Amino acid sequence: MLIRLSLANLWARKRRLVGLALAVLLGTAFLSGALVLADTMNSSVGGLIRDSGAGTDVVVRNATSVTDRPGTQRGAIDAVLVDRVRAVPGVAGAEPVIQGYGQVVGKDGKALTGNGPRMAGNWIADPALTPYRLATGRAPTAPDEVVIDRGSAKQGHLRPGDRVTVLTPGPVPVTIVGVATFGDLDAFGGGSYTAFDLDGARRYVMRDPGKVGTIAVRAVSGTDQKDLAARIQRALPADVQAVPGSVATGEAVSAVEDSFLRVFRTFLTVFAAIALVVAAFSINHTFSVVAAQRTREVALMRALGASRSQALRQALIEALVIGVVASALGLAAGLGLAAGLKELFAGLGFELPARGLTFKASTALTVLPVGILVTAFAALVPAVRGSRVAPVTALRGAGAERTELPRRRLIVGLVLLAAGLAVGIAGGGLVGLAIAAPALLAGVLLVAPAGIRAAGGPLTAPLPRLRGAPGALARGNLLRSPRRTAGAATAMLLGIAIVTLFAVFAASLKEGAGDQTRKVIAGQLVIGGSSPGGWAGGGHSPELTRRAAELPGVVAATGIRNAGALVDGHSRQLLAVDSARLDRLFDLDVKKGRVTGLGANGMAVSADSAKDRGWQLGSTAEVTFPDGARQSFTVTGLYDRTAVVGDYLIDRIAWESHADAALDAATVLRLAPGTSTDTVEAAVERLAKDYGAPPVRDREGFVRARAAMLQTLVAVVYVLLALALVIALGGIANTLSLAAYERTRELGLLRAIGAARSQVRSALRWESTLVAVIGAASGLVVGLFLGWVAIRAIGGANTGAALPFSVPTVQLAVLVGVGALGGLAAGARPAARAARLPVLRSVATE
Amino acid sequence: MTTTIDPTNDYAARAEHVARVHGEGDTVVRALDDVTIGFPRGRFTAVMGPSGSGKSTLLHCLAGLDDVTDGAVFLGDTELGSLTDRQLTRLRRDRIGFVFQAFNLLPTMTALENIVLPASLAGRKSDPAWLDRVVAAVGLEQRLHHRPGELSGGQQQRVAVARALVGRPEIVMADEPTGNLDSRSGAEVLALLRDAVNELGQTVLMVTHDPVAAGYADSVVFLADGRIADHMQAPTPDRVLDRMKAFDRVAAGAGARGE
Ligand SMILES: Nc1ncnc2c1ncn2[C@@H]1O[C@H](COP(=O)(O)OP(=O)(O)O)[C@@H](O)[C@H]1O
Ligand SMILES: [Mg+2]
Repeated sequence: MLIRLSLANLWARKRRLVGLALAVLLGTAFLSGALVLADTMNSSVGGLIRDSGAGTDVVVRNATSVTDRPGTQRGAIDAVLVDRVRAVPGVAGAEPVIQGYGQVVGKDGKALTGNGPRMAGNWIADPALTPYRLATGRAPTAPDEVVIDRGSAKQGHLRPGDRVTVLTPGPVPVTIVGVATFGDLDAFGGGSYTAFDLDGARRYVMRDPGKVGTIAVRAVSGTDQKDLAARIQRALPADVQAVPGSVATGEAVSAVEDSFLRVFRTFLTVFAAIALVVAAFSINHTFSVVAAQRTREVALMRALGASRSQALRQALIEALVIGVVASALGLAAGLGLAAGLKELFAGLGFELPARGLTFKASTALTVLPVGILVTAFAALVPAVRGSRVAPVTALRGAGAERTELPRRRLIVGLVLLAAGLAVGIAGGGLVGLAIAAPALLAGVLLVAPAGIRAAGGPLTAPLPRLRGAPGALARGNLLRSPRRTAGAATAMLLGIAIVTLFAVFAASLKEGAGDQTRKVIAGQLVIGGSSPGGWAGGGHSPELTRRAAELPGVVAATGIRNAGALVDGHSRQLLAVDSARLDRLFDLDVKKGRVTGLGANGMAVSADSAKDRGWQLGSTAEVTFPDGARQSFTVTGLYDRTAVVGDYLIDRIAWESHADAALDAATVLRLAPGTSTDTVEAAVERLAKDYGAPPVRDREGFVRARAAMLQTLVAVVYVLLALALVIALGGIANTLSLAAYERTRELGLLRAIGAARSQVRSALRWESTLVAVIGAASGLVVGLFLGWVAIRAIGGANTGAALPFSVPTVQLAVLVGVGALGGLAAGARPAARAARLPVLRSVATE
Repeated sequence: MTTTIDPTNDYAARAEHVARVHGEGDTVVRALDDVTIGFPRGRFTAVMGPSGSGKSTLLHCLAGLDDVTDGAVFLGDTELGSLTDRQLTRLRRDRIGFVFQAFNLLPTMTALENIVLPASLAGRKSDPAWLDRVVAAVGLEQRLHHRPGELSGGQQQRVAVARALVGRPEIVMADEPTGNLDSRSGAEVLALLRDAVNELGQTVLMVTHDPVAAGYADSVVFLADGRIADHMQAPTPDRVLDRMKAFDRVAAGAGARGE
């Protein structure tokens, strides 16, 4: 009986049903979308790597591993080993694999850059041993023929027959003979791949005809991977290892998962949490909008003899029906959202190496309970309240909409607010932030209704004068129930506060990084060093560095070379430089000793790292190079400024004998006093044309370019945060149209006594705009404060220089403007609908 | 009795052969059926009839809140059928004053704000002297800054009457204005309407099913089954009650009694 009554009740108020369901759907869809996207990334990146290694039964490789960063290679091995491996019984096929840096230059002379490593290697004919499949054209058969990935082909409008240059990093003129796909994808994420024939790869990518990178082995069918690996191992010298293909693949998968994927996943989870909180507030508020009517209904049932528990049960059943149906729909909508986000990211230049969508049971197991519980909670509160109100009171219409503000809430709110402010101002690092942020937000939410009552009146007082009767109506509706107004603004407040916090944070980081970069570069010109997305592996030929150093007006120059190695057994990123005149090129804020003339055995170390390792001047550091060789270095200098250069500096002489050194990530040039920077810059640019035209910039230009590297990531983050704002605006629109529906009689009365449609419309629009502005403005203040606390917390946690507090005024102004306009837009539809209501029906509505 | 229009008379509002049909086919309801009637200026006219007889429909049609299926309604010399929605809105705002049975006031506005609402919707200021006089007449001087929630039902209804009067409309239309009130509060509201006619020369049209209320009017029109059934001049509650009883016996099938 109760269930039938509940369902009938739901059906009778379809508009309300739709509104409530919409609120739940919006919230759960975002949660579901974030989870699906994260799972998709995880499984498809892993899947892609597994697929690409699926046919490889054994990998023969250098035994020394200096880094497990994805996209970096181990040292090379002897090419003669290929034949030795082929001779091992059980080996059906063995192919040398060469991989290194290779950047295609488009027809316009500009490198085809993207958000992923730029790789080149040898074309492998055995389809079991490579993920690449020819889409058009043929395999390369001469050293100057290449196959490129379809992503690059599309990007540069290239097809077989085209002649282009590949930078490896020296310029190699080649003819494209084929276009290949990575499995069924155009490319691996945002990366690119260029395949020479084996000779070409040895000559241009490996630059040592006697070496290959690894050997991929296919076993005779029925052979066990482990057994075969063991047998091959017996044919190999000690510094080369044979590992089962599944092991090598597993290592590669976890390397990717540990680095970039973990960051992405964490980030999506944070976003999902934000979306959830915003959605929870939105749902809760939506239910409180209908609370007035709900309360009356419950009271009527009570008056007719229903027990309190019956009334509550009925409300609960209704909420469950809405919660279950809407959450399920939201779950499904999340799939669409994830697909859309993927496309959007790709549009922003953040290509995800993913195909299809992965929907895991855990997503449903998170989204459904969360959606249902939040809905049930949000629905029960007004029902409980309704069951407490004396039936007569509720039926007379009084007491339904509570306008009094409980003093206790206000006091608790003020205490929390004060505590949040005090902790935030006192500092206390990240712990302080973790206490201040929730306390402050909770405090603001509790105090908001009283604040609106106290300040809302005077602040909106000019409105009736400016906007006449509609203004007065909007104002009256805002102030009639401060709690309702505060509730409507809450989602907006949270959304804007979070976006503001992030914007301040990003701007300050950027500013801080810019400051540091500006300080550390002592030269006037920088070549390269700003690959988009900051992918390691990019760069230009050291020959360009050498020739630039010889230009008139250049007094000192160094290439910067990333050098992954083990330092006392720990994987570290070293920088190999020309240290002879390093002090002219970098201002490292040297604390002790010297950073110039490091020679074959000297190492300069940041003061922080030295402290961590317990080193002093003269301490010995044991370095293992990618080729497996070990060497002791003496610490000759300690410095403080680590921007751009990192924590460990060695001379290129020490590096070149152990690893492929033909790639400078960037080059810094120092000019003679009185030399025109512009003149030299032009000369360097002319030189650079022969080397794929890496950008040449003065110091400020370099600082800006480094900052721009963050831009893609920042854009992705903004997209996600914008979605949180969309939830907030959707919530405002939804509650407003519900509120208009609940106020049908009021609007009808207005029309009956002579309000024009436009006046009704205007009143509702003003109402939603004001709600949005209230939310946006207070969110801005809260976000700025928390941003300030966060910046100080980071600055404190990091022994480096404190970050400047930088407010991105333009972005924030746009943000608040968008919030306000969003409020206006959110109000447009409900306002139009309310204005169209037939007067008579409105007046007659019971 | 089809003709109740005297061409020599001056009517504030009139209906000519008005029909209003709801629904279609089997469910068709003739809420008004060939109604012709005029409401003379400066007089207090009551429309009576059992529940469902079409009283509210007639009022709504006269106010341009509802469309007529057939015939024509006039406010003064303005024929409402030819007006656009915008013109109808202005007409209601400027030329008609409304008092409904319930839910007459906007809860977010004070009594005073409610009273001057039609004027402020028009972007006008109310004539202060006239406003004072009306407020004094309805006895609300002490209550002007209260919200509807803080007023009794009778006080709320008096605010509604004040709102209807303050714009000096050509006609005040009231639909069961005392339906929700106890008899004393109801008497106050009715006396107010009576005074408005006597002292201000206001035209009032009131729908009611209460014989006592009808007793305040100058004349009564009886509706039954959507048709004009009778007229009565200078009604008293007893005479109206007698007439209604007789009427009930005749039109036994007219529908349920009471609201
Ligand atoms: N929107 C409508 N749809 C169908 N029938 C209606 C509608 N409005 C009124 N009616 C019918 O018209 C008749 C007259 O209604 P009404 O004018 O409200 O009567 P009164 O006010 O005299 O009680 C009634 O039978 C009623 O059921
Ligand atoms: Mg009626």
